[in-house]
Order: sequence, then C-alpha cells, then structure tokens
Amino acid sequence: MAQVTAQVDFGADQTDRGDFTITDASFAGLTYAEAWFMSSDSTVDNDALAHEMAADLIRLSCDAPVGNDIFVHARATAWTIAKTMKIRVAAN
Amino acid sequence: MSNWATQILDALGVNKAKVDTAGSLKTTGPTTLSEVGFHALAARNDDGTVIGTPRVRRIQSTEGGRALIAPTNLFWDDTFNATAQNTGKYQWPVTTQSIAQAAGLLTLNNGGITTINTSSAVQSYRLFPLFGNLETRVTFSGGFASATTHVTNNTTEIGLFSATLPGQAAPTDGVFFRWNASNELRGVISFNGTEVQTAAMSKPTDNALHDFQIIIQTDVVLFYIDRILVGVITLATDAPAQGQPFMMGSQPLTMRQRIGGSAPATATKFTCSNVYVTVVGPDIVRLWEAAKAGMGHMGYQGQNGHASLGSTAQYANSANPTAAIPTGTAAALGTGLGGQFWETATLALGTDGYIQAFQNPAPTVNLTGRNLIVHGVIIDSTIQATLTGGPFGISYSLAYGHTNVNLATAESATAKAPRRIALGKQVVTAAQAVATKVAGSPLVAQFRSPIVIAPGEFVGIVTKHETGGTVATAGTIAHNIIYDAYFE
Repeated sequence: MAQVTAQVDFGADQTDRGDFTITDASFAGLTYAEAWFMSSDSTVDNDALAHEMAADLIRLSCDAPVGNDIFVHARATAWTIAKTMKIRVAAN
Repeated sequence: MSNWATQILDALGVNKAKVDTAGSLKTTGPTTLSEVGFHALAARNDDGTVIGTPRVRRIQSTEGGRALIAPTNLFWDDTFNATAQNTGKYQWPVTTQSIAQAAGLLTLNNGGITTINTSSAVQSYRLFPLFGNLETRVTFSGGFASATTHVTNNTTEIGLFSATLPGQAAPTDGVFFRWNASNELRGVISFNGTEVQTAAMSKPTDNALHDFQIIIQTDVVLFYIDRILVGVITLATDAPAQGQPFMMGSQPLTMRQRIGGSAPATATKFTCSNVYVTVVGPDIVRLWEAAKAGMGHMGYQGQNGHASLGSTAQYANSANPTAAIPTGTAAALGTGLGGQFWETATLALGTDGYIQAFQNPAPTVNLTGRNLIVHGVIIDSTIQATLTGGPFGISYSLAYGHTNVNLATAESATAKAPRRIALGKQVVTAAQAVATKVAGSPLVAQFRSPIVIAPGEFVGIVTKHETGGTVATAGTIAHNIIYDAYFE
C-alpha cells in the first residue's frame, strides 16, 4: 500500500471542478486508488476549516493507477473553490 | 483563510446569478407578468449616520389599492436679500439688541452686544398650522456666519414657536432648535411651556450657513441639519402625555437671540439667508394665487425690497384723493395698485388718460423681481361733484406691459408699448348730480387667462370720454379701483 499528501491548485478563479494527476513512485504496480480531504490539512490559501468543508462539498474519485500516476477528479456539489488545497491519496 | 464560495444556478446549471463589486446580488424582477410577485415599498429617509438607525418608512396605499401621495405645498418662501425689514410679513421686537438686513443676510444682534437682559427676534405675522396626519416642515438657511460663534450665556432659538416678545423668557409653545446658555445645540418641543429636548447635537461649523430643518408630525418631530437627521422626539416615548408636539395647533415662524442675567464673554450674531415652510399632505392642495397670497405675496401689499411697503392701494385714511385731469403721460390721479381716484371730468373727448398707473418694481439684488399676475379689475364710479356739461360715454381699457408710463411708448428692440384690453363702458348723463352712480358701475372684468406684468413694467386703467358726447367743463368723478392680483 502507498499513501501520499499532494497539494493541488484549483486556479485563481472560483470553480466547481478540478482534475489532477498525482505522481509518486510508490504507486507503480498497484491496482486500486482512493482520495480524500483531511480536516487538519491547510495551505496558504485555504485553512483547516476550508478543508473540513471540502470533505462535505467536493466529491473525489480516482482512476486506477497508471505507472507512477493516479488521476483524481474533484467535483464540487454546490459551492465553488479557488486556489490550493491538499488532498490525501492512497493506493494498493 | 478560505476560498470557498457558493453559486446560484438555474435549473440546467448553466446561468449563474452575479454579484456586484459591493457584494450585492444583482437582481432583476420577473419580466413575465404572470411571474410577478409582491414587493413592499419603503423609503429610506435618512441613513442613520448620526442617530445610529436608518429612518425607513413604508410607502402606503389606499384600501382600494391606489398609491397615497402627499404633495408638498409651499406655505412660506422668503429670502432676506432686501436691505429693509418687510413690515408686511415680520415683526422685529427687540430689547436693546438690533436687527439688520444686509448682503443677503438677516442678522440678529447685529450690533454685537453682550449686555445682559437683552434680546432680538424676528417673527412672522402668519401662523403655520399643524394638521392631523399631515407634516409641517420649516427650514432655515442660517448660522453664525458673521465672524462670531455661539458662546455660553447666549441663547439662540429658531423654529415655529411663540414667546413673549420682546423678552428673554423661554418660548411658551412650539418646536425649535436651541443653542442654549450652556452652549449646547438641542432640538426642543414646548407644549404650553413644558419642554422635551433631544440630546445635545454636534454643532455645525461656524462662519458658514447650514440648513436647519424641523419636520413636525402630530406624533413625532425630526431635526435635520444639512439634510442629516440629528435628533428625534417621539411623543409616544418622550412625551407620552402629549397628543401633539405643541398645544396651540399653529405657530409663527420665529428666530430669536437672547441674553439673560449673565453676560457672554463675546458677542454672538445669528444670521439667516432664507426660510421656507411647507405642509406635506394630500388635503390642502390650493390654487397657486391662494398659496402666494398666503406667503404675503398678495397684490395689495408691498414686497421685499419695494420702496413702499404696506398697502399698494391709494387709499388715505380719512382723507380724500386730490382730483386731477387724467393724462396719458403720467399717473396724474395716483400710482396705487387700486384704491380711490378722483377724476376732474374735463378730459377732452377722444383722449386717453390714466385713472391710475402702477409700476411693478424693477428687480435688483436687493429686490426679488416678481411678475404681477392680474386676474381681474373692478371700476366703481360715482359723481363726487356735479358735472357741468355732458352727457358722454366712457370707454375703459387696461394698459399693461409698457416699459415707460407714457401710453405713446412705441414697441422697439429695447422697449415695450402698452398692451391694451378693452374693459367695458360707463355713461355719464348731462349735468349728472353729485352722489349718483355712474351708469355701468361697477364695471367688472375678469381674466381667466391672467394679465402678467413683468418687473419694471406698468399697468394702469385708462379712461376715454367718447367722441360724440358733450365735454364736461366742471365736475368730479370718484372712482374706486380694485385689482385681483398677486406677486408671483
């Protein structure tokens, strides 16, 4: 099993979606992937409360690992988000 | 920090509601009639920058769904640009202090004294009513603008109030701003001498004129300075035993400055540029001539800056006018706007001559030019001294608009000839006896489309003894002339 913390950028303008490729050598050869927000994470743009809200407001889904990459899809349900957030990605 | 935002989308998730730079949601009401809903209309009369709470009032309608409207009716509108007191509109009661009008300002305590137990006041003869559920508003453009400031031990009051004048005692009834002897500015209502005051207000700057407005309703009085609400007296909470702000029901416009038993350190002079009073409400819409007469602009008295104040008519008390033969070059019988005029009846036949002529005073910076609006004239004539000669017919006309009293004045690029309107006729019989009515009297002429005499122009009633009669060689005709007129 592999697990990484990645910082993604939704861009300067408010958006309800983002698609990110998370690259890490530990993903090589693995089959399943999962992504989530942790409420204690923060970035210079969005604090822990913003990450706590993200758990409710953004649905994350992952493609199966391809080599060292996992492709993560972020879709907000009603609200919009901007700038950087941290996500956690695990694979096995 | 968080960069979360929400969005409002249409059902397809395509169109987004927008927000302006102030953070307000941009809204547009439905554009399809069947989708229109209900909205409550309200007016924000004041932002609450001083009193802390915005003053918002709902706009109302009748039970039948018609919007309630409240026209503003001018009850008083005056500027103190003349250099003399308008004795037809104001009294100036003083004790030792003085009042003057100069440079467009009326100044209380013009002499700048600090003597104890002195005062000066300006008070209108007209009273201004407070009608139920209507709104009386009085506004002064004034301040301490003569290089003086208000100081302790001086009291200045402006508003609609009664007081014993001249005098230094507090007002007996009314509403007013007061700079008190402790050098505070407060709004005050006095109900038969019982006062309720606002908190002390921030005083506006000296050496500048400011707008002081009092809005009076039967249940609330609002005090504005420079269109900002600075004080409110709500009767239900501030004076619950009173049903209205003052007891008398109407009040004169009054400005007063007074010094009591302690002398101020320096002199104070309150100056005023202009005042006006309006009554806002639906029940008192009146004809413009009635409104102007109410302001003191009736044609039968002199106006601000006129050389002759008081009555405009020639009507001496217990004295007769001097009889004269009319001419067309001068007002030989008199210059009054109506009154008594005695005509020596020997005017040559077929000759025009004035019974009276009046010049609407020409404007200056000290005399507000006002059009003289004439709605009608009446000529009532009797024989004052038995005629020798006659008979003859008399053709009367109104001459107006000419820029020189001479009826022969020609129309030119810079002058106006008289406009003439035939008024009607009278007939004098041969040797008509004294104390008999001239046939055709009274002669009444009304003008639904009024006659307008601009400032500087003349208006007069002209007689012409008609050719074909027999000229009189002696006798006097006594005319009473009435003008139905006002100064606009």
